Amino acid sequence: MIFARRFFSKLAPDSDASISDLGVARWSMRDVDPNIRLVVDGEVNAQLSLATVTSVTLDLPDDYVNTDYLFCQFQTEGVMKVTVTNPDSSTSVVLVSGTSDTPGIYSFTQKVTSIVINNPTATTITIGYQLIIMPPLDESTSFRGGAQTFGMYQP
Amino acid sequence: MSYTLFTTPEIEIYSDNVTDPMSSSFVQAIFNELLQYEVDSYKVQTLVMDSGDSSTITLTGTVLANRKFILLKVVGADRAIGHAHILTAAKDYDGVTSIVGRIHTMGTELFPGYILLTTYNVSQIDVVADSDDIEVQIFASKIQA
Repeated sequence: MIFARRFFSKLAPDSDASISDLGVARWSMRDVDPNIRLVVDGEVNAQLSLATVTSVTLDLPDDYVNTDYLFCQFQTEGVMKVTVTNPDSSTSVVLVSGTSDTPGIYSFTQKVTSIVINNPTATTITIGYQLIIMPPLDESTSFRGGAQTFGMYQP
Repeated sequence: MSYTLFTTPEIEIYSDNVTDPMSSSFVQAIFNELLQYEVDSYKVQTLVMDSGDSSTITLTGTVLANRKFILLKVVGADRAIGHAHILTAAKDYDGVTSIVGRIHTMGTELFPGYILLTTYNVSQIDVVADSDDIEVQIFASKIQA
């Protein structure tokens, strides 16, 4: 599998600004070649609806073991609670807050034992998520293409 | 002044090698191509840290219920892997129960590690280094109500 990711952010002085307005003053976060590709070992893409006050334990990708790094990304238009259990049995609990206009996102890369999503609200929520097994990543890792875009702009 | 923060976190997966990784994505069915937040305050910091170092990110003029957007990038020195995590102290949905987030990432200069989080009920945000000689860049903002 070939995997690419890109994050892009921009600050503009008013809400009507367009993404095409890019390129004024740039912050210190580097803006580099937009493409990076890296072979990954397995992934899950899914969307689920979660009824009010219910939880679900996510299926992790096939062949995932908790010595691997897992890239995890979630998006919701409601409020969800994400509980991640680490291999050392410690847990991380985070509320993710989104609306239909401004979905909430949550993204990280770490070793995990389990991921539980809870809907604490009084309405059904829809969640999109991706779980990707990262390949070993070190200074000898070879990449196709260049580095990764991470641009942040201010007016 | 209010600002608009556009954020596109994009993951693309292909079954075959492709020449343009940005050209298509079945993930767009799940993830919006463009997320747009209006933020009315924000803070940007660059930190050079060693393992065990921590730094509290203070957003002035915010209250617990404010939605916040946090973006962190970490790289290691000399192409080594840099590890870091964000530690959040927050209240659960009930507004009473304390919850703690330990959100990890790792990356290199060529493949930086990122954390993105849209959250609320957060009272404290700390950046913690998990390896030596890392550079962390963090953007923390209050999303306009």
